[in-house]
Amino acid sequence: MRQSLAKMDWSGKALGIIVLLAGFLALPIFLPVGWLSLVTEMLILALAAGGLNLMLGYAGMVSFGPAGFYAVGAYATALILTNTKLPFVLAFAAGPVIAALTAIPIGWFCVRLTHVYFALLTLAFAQIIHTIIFEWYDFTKGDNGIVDIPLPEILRSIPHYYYFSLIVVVFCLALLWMIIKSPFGKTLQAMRENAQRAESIGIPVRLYQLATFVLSGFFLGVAGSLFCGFNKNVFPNYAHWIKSTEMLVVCLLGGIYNFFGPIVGSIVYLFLDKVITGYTQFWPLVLGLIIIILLLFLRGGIAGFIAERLALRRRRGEQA
Amino acid sequence: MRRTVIITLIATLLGFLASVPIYAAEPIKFGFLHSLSGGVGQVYGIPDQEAVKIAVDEINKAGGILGRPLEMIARDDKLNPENAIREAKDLILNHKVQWIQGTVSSAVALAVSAYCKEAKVPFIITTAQSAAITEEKGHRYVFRLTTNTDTYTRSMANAAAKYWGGKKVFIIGPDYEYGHKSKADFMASYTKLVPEAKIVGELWPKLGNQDWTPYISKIMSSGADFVYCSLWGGDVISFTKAAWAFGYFDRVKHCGQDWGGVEALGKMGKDIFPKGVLGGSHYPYWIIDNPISKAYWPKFNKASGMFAGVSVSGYTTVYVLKQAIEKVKAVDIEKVINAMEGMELNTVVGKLQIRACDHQTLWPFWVGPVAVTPDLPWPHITNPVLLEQAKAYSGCAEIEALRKKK
Repeated sequence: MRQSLAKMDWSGKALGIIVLLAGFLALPIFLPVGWLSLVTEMLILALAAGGLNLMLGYAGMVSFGPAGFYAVGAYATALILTNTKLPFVLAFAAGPVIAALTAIPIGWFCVRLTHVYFALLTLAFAQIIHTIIFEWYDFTKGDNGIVDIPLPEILRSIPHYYYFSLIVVVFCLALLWMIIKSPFGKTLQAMRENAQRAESIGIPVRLYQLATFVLSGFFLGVAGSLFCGFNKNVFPNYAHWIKSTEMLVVCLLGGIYNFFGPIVGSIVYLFLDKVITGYTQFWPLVLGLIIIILLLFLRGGIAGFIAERLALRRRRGEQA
Repeated sequence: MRRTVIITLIATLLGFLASVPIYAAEPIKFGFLHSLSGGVGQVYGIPDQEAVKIAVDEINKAGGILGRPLEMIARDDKLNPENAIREAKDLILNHKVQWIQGTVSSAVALAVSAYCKEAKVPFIITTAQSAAITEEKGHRYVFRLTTNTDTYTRSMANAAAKYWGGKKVFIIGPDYEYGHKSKADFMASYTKLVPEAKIVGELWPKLGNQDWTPYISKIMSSGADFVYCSLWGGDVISFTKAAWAFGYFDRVKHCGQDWGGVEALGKMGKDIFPKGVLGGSHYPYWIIDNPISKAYWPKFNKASGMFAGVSVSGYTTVYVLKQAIEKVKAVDIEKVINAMEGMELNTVVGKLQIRACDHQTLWPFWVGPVAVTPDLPWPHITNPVLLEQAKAYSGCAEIEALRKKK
């Protein structure tokens, strides 16, 4: 009985995902380009937050510096596109690879620390990346950023770039999903619950944490590269701690213990930002209030809250 | 019962929808994109917005442009290029604005300029100064209605040579491109006037630095003839407060482009201020004898409670677009741009022209020593000197060469 229920649940979920994807594919038909551009941004931020959440929600590693890898991805793609004649695909792929390579030495240092020390060290490394980008004028153009990045003609229109982002983001989220559902993902969750216990049953915790760090860096790099093509320019503040905070808020808003949390968080966050900044200059005040409400009343974020409600209803249904 | 409620609701909604177009002719919309929050917003963005509001009010009261009212849509760029592009996209794609004006950060201006070039919508810079935006990175869709870094540094070098003419120069500036570029440009101009001039020391504090004591004592013990300083905004105010305590302004000759504007000096009293510093101003209204100016500054002061300063560029920009649209008798972007190229303007600072070659308005920049006089409630520049336009701005041929090199 319970098994068949679970099966139904699965086919229901699959159906839901298919309907959702079809909806996303059809979006450019009825959505004005201005909004489509915002949806593209939502997708990219969802991927960045998803990459961060692998570390944050599943492995319990609170990072304050995800923007560092995001910026490395964005700058790698930007620098290759402006300085070399390499094709876009290569420049685009180089972003996440270089971000992941950067994450290896940084992660090696960071995973040696725990809790708040880990968080602070990630912040410090991200600020180092920010400073390098900000000060190295000859290479990164400093605070002026790199503008006017050449893109292939086919990706220059907003609907085309939207489809490109949709494919990349869906593919990456599917990868993340597989990672989380794999034995590796389960191990991460065990480590999150109790790292010492995990270690005592023979799990090389630091190695797993380093792997998570690098994977997370990779997905953040993909998001950075995507955003570089989306905006056609890059700036040092992509690496700034404010950007990191934004990603953390998106994760918290959506819910860090739910796979769809960062996606929901990104949609709600950017939508609120757009709507509220149209009316008032006090967007940070509203954001502050939202964070307070979240922390006090919605600890699981929006997705967590919905999942909880659904579970409650299902349980009631079972009882009846 | 339920049905009646629904019908009433639908009817009201339809009523609302139907009533909208009856009010007026469709407005001409434009985007105002500036830093409206934080310290920089208080000093530059908010006054600019107030000035633009006055222009929009005046124009709408006089019947609008081609009989259509003017509507400003204001957005905060949050001093962040990424955010600025998002807002610019929203303004152009969703609100169909005819032009965008504003911005103070040069990085923001560069980003918006690149986007507007692609979207083919004019972007008029009213505060940001980096010369590169209109010089090597200039294009058909970007304009500037204020000075640029060339004017700043050349005017300062000219005034420093005229007033002091020392050979030992000390440099202090914020540690990012603006500071370093200002130093290079200043020295290039100054050594043309005083060939033996040399830098005897350099200091590069962070933007928004808090503790000025070590910098002040280093400068005071350097033995330099004068200091060239590119600090701006809040740094000018905090540096002044710290330096005053050391008697700095009695002992050191100090000059800098952002030390004479009402933006910084208007926030200081008569007791602590950068006495004798050579500072620059875009609009020293207390010495300008011009009917447009005499009508403008009291009005601005009354409407906003602030003193008129560089924000007058925002006000002027709205009138430039009005003049251009009325000239071509159409709200057509390409025609309007053609009209703006080489257009003669009647502004608060007199007759000006938007140069056709680089879309730069040759706005004057006055430099003089800061002092307190009985006629104004705050310190301001006095006896200013004005560098002639041909020397203060790069020539068209020079810019052409720069663009080719790129």
